[in-house]
Amino acid sequence: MYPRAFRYERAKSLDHAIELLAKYKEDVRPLAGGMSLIPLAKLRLVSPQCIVDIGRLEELKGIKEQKDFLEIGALTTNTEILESSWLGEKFHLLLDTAKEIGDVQVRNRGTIGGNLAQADSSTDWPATMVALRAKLVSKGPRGEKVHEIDSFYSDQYTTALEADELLTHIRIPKPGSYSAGASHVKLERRKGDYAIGIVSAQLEVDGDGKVTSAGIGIGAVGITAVRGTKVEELLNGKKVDDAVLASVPGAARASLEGSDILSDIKAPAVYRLDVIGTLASRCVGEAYHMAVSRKSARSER
Amino acid sequence: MTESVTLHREETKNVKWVGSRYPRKEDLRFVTGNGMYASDIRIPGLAHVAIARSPYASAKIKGIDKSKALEVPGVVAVFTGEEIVAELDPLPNLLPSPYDKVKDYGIAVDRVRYAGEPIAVVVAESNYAAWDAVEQLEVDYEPLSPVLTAKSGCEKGAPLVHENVPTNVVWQRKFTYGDVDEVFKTADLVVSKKFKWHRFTSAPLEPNVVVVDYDKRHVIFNIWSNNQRPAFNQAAIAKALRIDANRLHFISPDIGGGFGIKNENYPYIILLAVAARRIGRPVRWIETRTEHMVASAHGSEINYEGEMAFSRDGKILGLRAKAYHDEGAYMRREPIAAFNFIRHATLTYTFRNLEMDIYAVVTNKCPVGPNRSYGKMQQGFLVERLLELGAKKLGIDPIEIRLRNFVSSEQMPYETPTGAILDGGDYSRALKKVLENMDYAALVKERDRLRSEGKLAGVGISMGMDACPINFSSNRLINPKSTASGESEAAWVKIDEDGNISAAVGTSPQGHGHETVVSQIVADVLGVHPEQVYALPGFDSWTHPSTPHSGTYASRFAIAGASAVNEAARRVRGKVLRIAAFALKEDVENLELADGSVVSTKGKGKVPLKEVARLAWRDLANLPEDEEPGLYSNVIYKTPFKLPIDSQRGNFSLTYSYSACVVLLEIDPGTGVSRVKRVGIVEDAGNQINPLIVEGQVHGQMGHQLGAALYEDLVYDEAGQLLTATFKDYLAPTASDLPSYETGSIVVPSLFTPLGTRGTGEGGGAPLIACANAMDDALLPLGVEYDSSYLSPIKIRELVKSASGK
Amino acid sequence: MSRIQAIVNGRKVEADVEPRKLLIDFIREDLGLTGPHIGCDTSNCGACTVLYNGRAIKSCTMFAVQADGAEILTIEGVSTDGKLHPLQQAFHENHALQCGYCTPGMIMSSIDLLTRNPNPTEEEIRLGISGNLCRCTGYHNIVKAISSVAKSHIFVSPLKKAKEE
Ligand SMILES: Cc1cc2nc3c(=O)[nH]c(=O)nc-3n(C[C@H](O)[C@H](O)[C@H](O)COP(=O)(O)OP(=O)(O)OC[C@H]3O[C@@H](n4cnc5c(N)ncnc54)[C@H](O)[C@@H]3O)c2cc1C
Ligand code: FES
Ligand code: FES
Repeated sequence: MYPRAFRYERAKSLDHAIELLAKYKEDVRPLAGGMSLIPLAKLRLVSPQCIVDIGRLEELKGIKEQKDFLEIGALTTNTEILESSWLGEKFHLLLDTAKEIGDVQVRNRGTIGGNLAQADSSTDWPATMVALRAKLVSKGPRGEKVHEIDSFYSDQYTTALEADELLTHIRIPKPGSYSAGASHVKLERRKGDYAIGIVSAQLEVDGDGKVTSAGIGIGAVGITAVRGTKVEELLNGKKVDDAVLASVPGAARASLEGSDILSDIKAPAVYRLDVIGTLASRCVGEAYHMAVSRKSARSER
Repeated sequence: MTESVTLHREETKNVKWVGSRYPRKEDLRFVTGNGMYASDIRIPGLAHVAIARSPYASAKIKGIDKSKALEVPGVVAVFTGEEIVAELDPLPNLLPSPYDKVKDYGIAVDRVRYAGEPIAVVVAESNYAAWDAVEQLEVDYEPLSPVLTAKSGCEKGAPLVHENVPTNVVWQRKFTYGDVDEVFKTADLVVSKKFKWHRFTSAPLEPNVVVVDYDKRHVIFNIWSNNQRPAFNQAAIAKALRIDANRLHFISPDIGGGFGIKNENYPYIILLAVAARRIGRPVRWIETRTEHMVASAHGSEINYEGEMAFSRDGKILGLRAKAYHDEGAYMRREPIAAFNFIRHATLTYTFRNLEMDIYAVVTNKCPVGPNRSYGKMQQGFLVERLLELGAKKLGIDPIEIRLRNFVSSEQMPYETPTGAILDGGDYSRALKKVLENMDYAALVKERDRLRSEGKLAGVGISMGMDACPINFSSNRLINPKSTASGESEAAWVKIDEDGNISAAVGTSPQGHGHETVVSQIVADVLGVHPEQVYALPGFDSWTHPSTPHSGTYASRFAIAGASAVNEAARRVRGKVLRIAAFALKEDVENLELADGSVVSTKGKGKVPLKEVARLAWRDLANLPEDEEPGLYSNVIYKTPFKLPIDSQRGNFSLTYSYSACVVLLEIDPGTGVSRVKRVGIVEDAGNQINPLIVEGQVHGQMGHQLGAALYEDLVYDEAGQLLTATFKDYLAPTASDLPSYETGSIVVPSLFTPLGTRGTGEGGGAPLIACANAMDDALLPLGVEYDSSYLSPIKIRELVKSASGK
Repeated sequence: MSRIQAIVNGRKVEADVEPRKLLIDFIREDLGLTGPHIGCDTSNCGACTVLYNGRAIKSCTMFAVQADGAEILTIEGVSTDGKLHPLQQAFHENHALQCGYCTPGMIMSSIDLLTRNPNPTEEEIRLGISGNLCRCTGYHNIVKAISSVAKSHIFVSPLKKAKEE
């Protein structure tokens, strides 16, 4: 397919990018990896008058460990994350998530910032960021802002960003202990597809195996990624045994109450709401198992 | 960079090339990116075509305003359906009167009949500009209410898809063989079930492409396309264009997969021909994937109401079924899919009582057309599913029940109730072999282990049959006025004055390796290496021989194509030997052709082929008196076919290749998602000219069939919009979604073909059907029966939930 | 129109392109390299796969202007010194192609895979080519071909070669 004509501007720096976005604010889109924007443009479903190519902004690339958090540049590709195996120790969930995205070609181009800015709850990063309680840093003509992930999305394809603002970095708090367990469970109809159900979890446990901190993100069910509040409440302070696991599906569904539910040809709303229970208990089970075994591996050392 | 690349081959001497796993000759250009597909053709002055399509399933076109479209920069011309059709006659169809009046021009005039139907042709300097103009076309539609299922189309008072014919049921016939009512009355068991055969498509990776250059100096249309049987289609195209067929010059270069669908791009050839003639420039249309999904040729969609009668000991006594075929909006090749049950209606089994009541119904959906295993897998599904249900009810093992019903090898050739003459084979050996290859006992154990882990799991077995090629006299059963019968293929083989060997066939392969197979056949006959044979690629109606049946469809190459080229090579060989005999003063009987020379077995010397060629073409005074110069033979092979026996019986295919398939299916009850854990198949294609290629065809069937069973479904909404119109929503499986295949074969040569080969390639649908049977086995513990050819996770999950709620 | 420069298969190319022109159209129509193909509208099929600065990408999902300054390798640049690349040879020997339409993209993805993971498992091979659809082979022989190259340790990246030329 063939996109409509547009004006192309290549940003030379972050400030230049913001300047360009502000200039064409009425009808402009930044272009990162293009894995969402270009397919939409080809089908002529999205046709901005101007596209600002931010692909070369080195200041938005790379992963850095800061004192209290991990900082990922918005233009870091899924492949770069996946190939940063050192993340496995403290941020295993990032690797689990990156590997689920699309296929190698999509991962090579697609960026974490573009994924989050696309605000499609069927993609993998939003749910994971909810689980990790990430903060998203943006910059625009009015300066820098820091957004809590929980308030970043207001609707499908809608974020807290203005048209002239860019997502610049993602900040991920370090887990309190090194023994966080993680799991990213994605249900897809075919390998590499957008999900029809995602549960992303990071759990920390104490020496007794009691959950000290739980982060649960649910994607591809609500029109935005949703925090599994009820699941978190259920798990906190508990050992996750079969009885607890049996309550997870209900808690996951309860967390979605009040959300508008996605429904399409791949999966109607009823199905999504139904299977998310299965996915949630699997995800929590896996993350808990990992947390406990990591904890005991540590204490043996 | 790539120009001087060579393939490495083992040097082998004195082998029979036919029968060897000879790696393909055509690969070299494909692996280096040098394939020549229709979209790779470059012609100076080329203009680009985009086709405007209807957004409605059914609507009146009240007017088209093209003024804005014409203003788009780069636009050359815009032709509405009305303007195009002014230069056309309608395309013919197969239907008996009055349904032959269904008008089809490949483009809508005043009424659109499916979402995606062409309504205008836009020509521009680039594809980008052409699509810009399509967006600017202003069309005034008056939407009508669409007919979206075969059943609703049959109802009294249903809106008419074609207003000039009396009903939407454009073809209906009940075929009855034996004493069906009686056996159903007296049977020990009758199982009956409604099944849904879902709509899917073989979707070749390369979409349709047509390039037309109108040469007004010679009054010739030069047509490059990926049509898989241009010679077959040329009469219809010429008639529509109101010109003589010898004014059409067809070139089908390399084709990126066809699977039947690419028989059906001929309406676009007509549209492009009109556009090329009107603007006086070559034009090119490259179908987008979305266009391919909404408007090429879907596979058939059927509602079956089936019944099978059994005796207590598991003998099938009879089959009775109603089949409602949703044919889509135009009857291009149809009702062949609906009719094709007749080719092997009873599959591999001996039952003699059969009634098939067929309804071909037009609807406001994409037209149905040939798709791999066209009409064959559907009949297999009906028979095998009912057989499976019967086995369960009778408490007979699924293997045992099949063994009890097989036509045995001693009964071959076996005439079925519909008049098909099975050409040999050993069905029980094939089934036993696949069970042995797969270690059936272990498979069942694995299933039980999965079940004990809380999974749903099932083992499914199925036979499949691929009847081919087509005896066109079968058309007389659709329309008594049809005059065709039999089928044929053409080939030539030539040794030029320097001893170079060339060969050409009228088939237009789409990845079938005909260049390799032709080379193997000719190499054996002429005693040379396959690399010494140049088999012409693709199809060009000016250089390749052809007949009105030429093309690659209906798994026909190993019968018609192979036989034609084999015979042409044999005739050239005969002449080579006669000329050599004359030169050596030796009897022809004492001569052999080997390693590029004719050798006397009695020690009277040898003549190189090159020398024979020189004699034949240049040294004419030294030829035997009565010998025509040259080494060239052009053969038209007639597949030995007869007229129908009566109005509902006949042998409409020559060979009946078959396969036995076993599947282990695992279902996650928590999500309803199923996965094939293991799959094995044993196929009998008779003698295999190239087992490597035959195996590849079997793999291809697997990919298509497992894809269709688990992933691929064409879904329309209640307004008649196709919801699965891209590869994002139409789930063509990836390598990660499919298992590896455990393939095997047995060889029982065909009794009826010169080389003992059976047509193969399309396959009989066994993997898909085995999946459906495995699904039934998996759901057995829940006490539910599955009723569809598509294993939708959503539906499975519903069944699981309703069963656990019980 | 925007002016772009790129190194394609070791050769420098320069052209004016409309910003909306997709990289695949630039490669096929402007450069005449018709090895990479188009099989879909939604970035699913991978027939258009090329190496872009050494990594497999879908050239239908990039604008040609974005490729300014990049190094691109298409299937046409994979074989060197008149010899097929081991993957090309293996695809041939294992009958890993039928119509050949997916083959150029498949080989480019396989190069990306084996460059990063010289000893992939069957599952990893299948994942590695999961961005490339094939409708003819059912993938069986493609997996076999890639695996045979990995097992015999004959893979060399064609990238270095392209650079040297
Ligand atoms: C075949 C295929 C399969 C896929 N499968 C998956 C999958 O399984 N899981 C998954 O998670 N995703 C999947 N994706 C989507 C993929 O991850 C995309 O890369 C991602 O959604 C967008 O990232 P991008 O860098 O390509 O962004 P782009 O497409 O460049 O941009 C996306 C949107 O965000 C805006 N934007 C980009 N960067 C910024 C920024 N820094 N600040 C503000 N706005 C910005 C753009 O203007 C645009 O509107 C798939 C895509 C394809 C083509
Ligand atoms: S054409 Fe690029 S992915 Fe299909
Ligand atoms: S070989 Fe035809 S699509 Fe792969």
